[in-house]
Amino acid sequence: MDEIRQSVELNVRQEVGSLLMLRSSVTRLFQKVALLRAPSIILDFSQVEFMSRSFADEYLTGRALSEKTIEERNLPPEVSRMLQVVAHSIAATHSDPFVPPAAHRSFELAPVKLL
Amino acid sequence: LDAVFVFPTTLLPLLVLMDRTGAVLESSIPSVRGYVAAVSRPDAPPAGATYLVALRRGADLGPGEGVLDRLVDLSGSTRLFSRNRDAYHYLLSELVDNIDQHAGADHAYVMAQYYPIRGEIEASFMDDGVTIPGSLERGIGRHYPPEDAVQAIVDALGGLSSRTAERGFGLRTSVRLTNALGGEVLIVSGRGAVVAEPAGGVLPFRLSEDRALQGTLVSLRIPEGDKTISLYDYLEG
Repeated sequence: MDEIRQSVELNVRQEVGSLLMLRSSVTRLFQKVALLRAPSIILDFSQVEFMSRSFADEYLTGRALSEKTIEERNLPPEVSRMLQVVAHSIAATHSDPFVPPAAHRSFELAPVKLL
Repeated sequence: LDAVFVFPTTLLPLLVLMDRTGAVLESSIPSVRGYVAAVSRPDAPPAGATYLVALRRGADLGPGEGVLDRLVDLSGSTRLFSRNRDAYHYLLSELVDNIDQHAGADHAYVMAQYYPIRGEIEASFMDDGVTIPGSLERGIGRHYPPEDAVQAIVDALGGLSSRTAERGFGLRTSVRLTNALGGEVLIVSGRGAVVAEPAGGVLPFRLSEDRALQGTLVSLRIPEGDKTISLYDYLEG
């Protein structure tokens, strides 16, 4: 009988690239995670150069919904910062997801012109 | 076409028209004719080209990684990019992701041009999706009559999203970043158009019915300048 490893490590740069930009990339990453038999997954973020806000949002949502235990390793400071910003934002707006979390930006709106 | 110089913002909609109807663009200006012929070629631009055109249809729409990689390559040599790498990555990723996620589009189009002498880059993103007012109505049930499309764009700039609150930051932060870099943004959707200026002002336009855009165009023009900004100073949350 095959022995199931308790923990498997995935290198995010190899799986997605050094620029983590699109939500669809997160979907593909978690599809790969779901196919692994190990209950615990370590995602190695070393040599990742950038994570977008959209990627971070989709990643945190995917991690929360995943049946596996997911742990990040070697998070570059900027990537860690983006994850913190988005995690904070999600927590702050969790109670009413359809209301913008911050006050609307006040614009210096000129009169509407007709074209 | 009588213009003596064409930018992605004006040329992309024309390329889309040519792509979809087989129309031919004629110009008496040789440089414009040559430029349009070059950017209309279906094959990838030659090495060292300062432009990028990506037209994606139907099943080819897919994830935008390929387009993003090419945009990153195009901007790799610019001063803007070397000084504001993360901000530029943010802009590209949010605008391509917006098309992938929100628009419900069958077609998506991107054109970018780097102007080394003028010292600026212009990038236009266009889709034939449900428009910004259509997206807000579909997502959160807020109805905008066609003539109020400009209000929908202003609301989207204020952070309103067709999905969850966390998703409301994309367009708003993109405009703030572009303005902070000294650039301006044009958004056209349905019968509404808005120009967001570097100083923070917003010029709204209501388009007549025959000028309505069936989809959305977002266009950025950013000078290379000497500014260096931190993306993380502009992130809200």
